[in-house]
Amino acid sequence: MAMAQQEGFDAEEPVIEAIRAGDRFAFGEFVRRHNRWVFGVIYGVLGEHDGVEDVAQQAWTAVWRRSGELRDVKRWRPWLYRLTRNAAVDAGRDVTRRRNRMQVIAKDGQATPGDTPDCHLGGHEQHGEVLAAVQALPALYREPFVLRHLNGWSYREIAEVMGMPVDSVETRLVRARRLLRDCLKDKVL
Amino acid sequence: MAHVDNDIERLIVRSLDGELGEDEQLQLNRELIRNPKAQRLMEQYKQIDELAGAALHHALSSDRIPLDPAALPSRTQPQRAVRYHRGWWLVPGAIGAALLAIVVAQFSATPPAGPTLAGRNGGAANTVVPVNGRIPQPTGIMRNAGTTVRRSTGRDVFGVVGEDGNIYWIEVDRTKTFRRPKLGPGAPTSTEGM
Repeated sequence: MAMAQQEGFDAEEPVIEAIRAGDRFAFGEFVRRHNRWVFGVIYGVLGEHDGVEDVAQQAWTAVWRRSGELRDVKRWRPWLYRLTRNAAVDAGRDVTRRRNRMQVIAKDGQATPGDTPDCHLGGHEQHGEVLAAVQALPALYREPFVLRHLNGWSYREIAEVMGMPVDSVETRLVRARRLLRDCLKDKVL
Repeated sequence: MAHVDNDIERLIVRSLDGELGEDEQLQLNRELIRNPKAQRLMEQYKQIDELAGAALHHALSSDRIPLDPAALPSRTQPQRAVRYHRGWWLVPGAIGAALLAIVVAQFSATPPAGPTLAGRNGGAANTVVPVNGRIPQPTGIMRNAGTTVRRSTGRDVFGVVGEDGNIYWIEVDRTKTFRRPKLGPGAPTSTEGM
């Protein structure tokens, strides 16, 4: 879903103002419209789709609670991205801690579940293989890749929310594809 | 996969993402016609894009929103936007005013009144009044009194209330120089900190 943003006018601005005034209905609509890319941001950080919905719930709650802190309504998208990403990073720390505990427990046994994901993770289906490869990408490349492929955002839009130059977005997307090709060339390509 | 020039790889990626201008697209098309390796790379990237897009949509698309707005905690107090440094320009203004006050005080300062010639001689020594058309001769012993110079160093401290509510102290060293007639040998010794 591409952003419906024209130069100088953003149809979401009145919605944001309504949310800031405490309008729950407006907030519900806003969540419905943007939930997918919020999912994408969280997935980009976590690298796994388990728990994405829980983190999204936390992120949206934070958006509701802190909407009064948004200083420039025109910049709502980077603000939403930042809140979402922070929620995902916090959740990611919990996941890492859990994994580390599991590894310590598993060291006494034979298997080491929860190892760093590699190309061989995932099911035998094509989707599973591709998702596993995307998961195996460094978050640096995975985040813009997911925003591009889940939401269809342009480089400029990705650069705006991530707060980086357009050239950097392009570089990361090139490298993401290179890594995915290396990972998938013997399986699905 | 054999090597494909990095610039061509970038063009391929940007083409797939719909970010290519007309000239660049022509350049890429020419490269694809003459370079089968570039063509193969483009096919692979296109396949990756299609597969990844479908997989991500399959895994993450959900029409169900993750929370019920009605169940959100109420915001009992209207949220107030955080105010950052409104009126920050008052700070340099206040500092400027303080410095101006120091300069004015410096120039308007007069040396403290001390014993004058008039005071010592009991008359207006600096005023000569002709008597019968002649200037009266001075009486007593006249000496070239000269002048003494005295410097007084002090420190002015100004308090300026900052925007954040704190008081900022501005300390300014100042030196005052006083010149006054030197007293004669018989005069009482000055006690003004020479």
